[in-house]
Amino acid sequence: MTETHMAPAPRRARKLKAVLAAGLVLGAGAAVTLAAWNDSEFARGTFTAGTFNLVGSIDGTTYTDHATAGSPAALAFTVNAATLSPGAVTAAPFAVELAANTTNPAVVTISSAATTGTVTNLTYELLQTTTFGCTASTTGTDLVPAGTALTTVPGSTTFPLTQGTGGAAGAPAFLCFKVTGGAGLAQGQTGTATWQFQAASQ
Amino acid sequence: MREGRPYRSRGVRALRLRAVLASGLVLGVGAAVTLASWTDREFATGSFQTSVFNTQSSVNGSAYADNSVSPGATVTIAGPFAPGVSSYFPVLIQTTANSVAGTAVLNGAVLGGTDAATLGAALVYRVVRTTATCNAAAFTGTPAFVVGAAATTRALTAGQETGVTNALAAATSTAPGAATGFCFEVTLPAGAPNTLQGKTTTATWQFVTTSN
Repeated sequence: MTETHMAPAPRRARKLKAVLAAGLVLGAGAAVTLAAWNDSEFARGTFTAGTFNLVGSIDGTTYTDHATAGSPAALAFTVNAATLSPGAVTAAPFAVELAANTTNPAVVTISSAATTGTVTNLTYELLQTTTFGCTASTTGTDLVPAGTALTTVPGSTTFPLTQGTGGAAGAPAFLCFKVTGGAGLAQGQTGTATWQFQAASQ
Repeated sequence: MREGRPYRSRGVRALRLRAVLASGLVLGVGAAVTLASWTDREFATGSFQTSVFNTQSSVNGSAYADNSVSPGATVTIAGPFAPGVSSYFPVLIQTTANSVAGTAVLNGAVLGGTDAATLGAALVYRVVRTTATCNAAAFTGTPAFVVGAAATTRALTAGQETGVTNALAAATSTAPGAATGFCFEVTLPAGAPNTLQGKTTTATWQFVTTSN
């Protein structure tokens, strides 16, 4: 009888010891998880910004920067633009391209930058042609329709340009300005018009 | 009496001798029994081996390699940046054979190169977790963003977003674990100034991988 009473106490002690031992094991497991193995992976990217330069030409061969309104390319009109008469048409070629160091294609937007003097009763048409050159009879893709006042450019007048490859300049866009004297053109009238070609990288 | 005494004493001595002999025999028997017993042994050996955790990475389709020292895998982004232009490149990370599973944490980049302060500071990026083709389409819909969000980009020096967990699958004894992919989108913002033209910078990202 005494033995059967005594038995439960050691059994409980053993159980307690077992629980304590299990607790220690769990504790050790948790410590291992916290001290996890570590490794690293590195990745480096090299990023280079492109360069971008639009140049213009009035002769189709020599392209130079005319980056400010104060130093524009002076268009060479075929008929002396200084002696326009009512109904007379004078034409001048222009071309733009992306210079050799340009890395990205562009969209060129044309706008009217400034006029000086008197340019009333003068209208113009702007064509994009397949070759360089412009006369009163030149045809091409209308960028600005005939009859547009010299002081304005229709909204969203744009054309694309591609950059060159292998160190060469991009393919040029050939343009043709045709200016027509209106019926009310005053004798001795003098003025200038400046257009801006703004290229934005794409 | 005289005759009886020696006899008696002889008898006692004999008894004592017999008792001693008997006890000796008992001892002898005991020893013999011990010698003739079966013997056997049980040994318990605990074999303790640490687990293995190793990761490798592949950048922009290159072969997997341990890139555990900076700069690690390098990639030169093709196609120069212009305002509004984004470039994409994937980074794949896998556990090597025998490796246990883990997680990867993307830290912000360390900028380098001559124009780190200008171009490096201007560039922004986003990262989604995918092993599919890494291009603009990977960022549409509701991808698993690691850096940035649908309409949010971060500076190159920003690490992964809070709450992001990038699991790395365990490997088998013979094959690496399934790769976890990170698709990087690096963008020069549309309003970037012309002064950034022609500049070059580097960005080094660290993935800290930790075993489970």
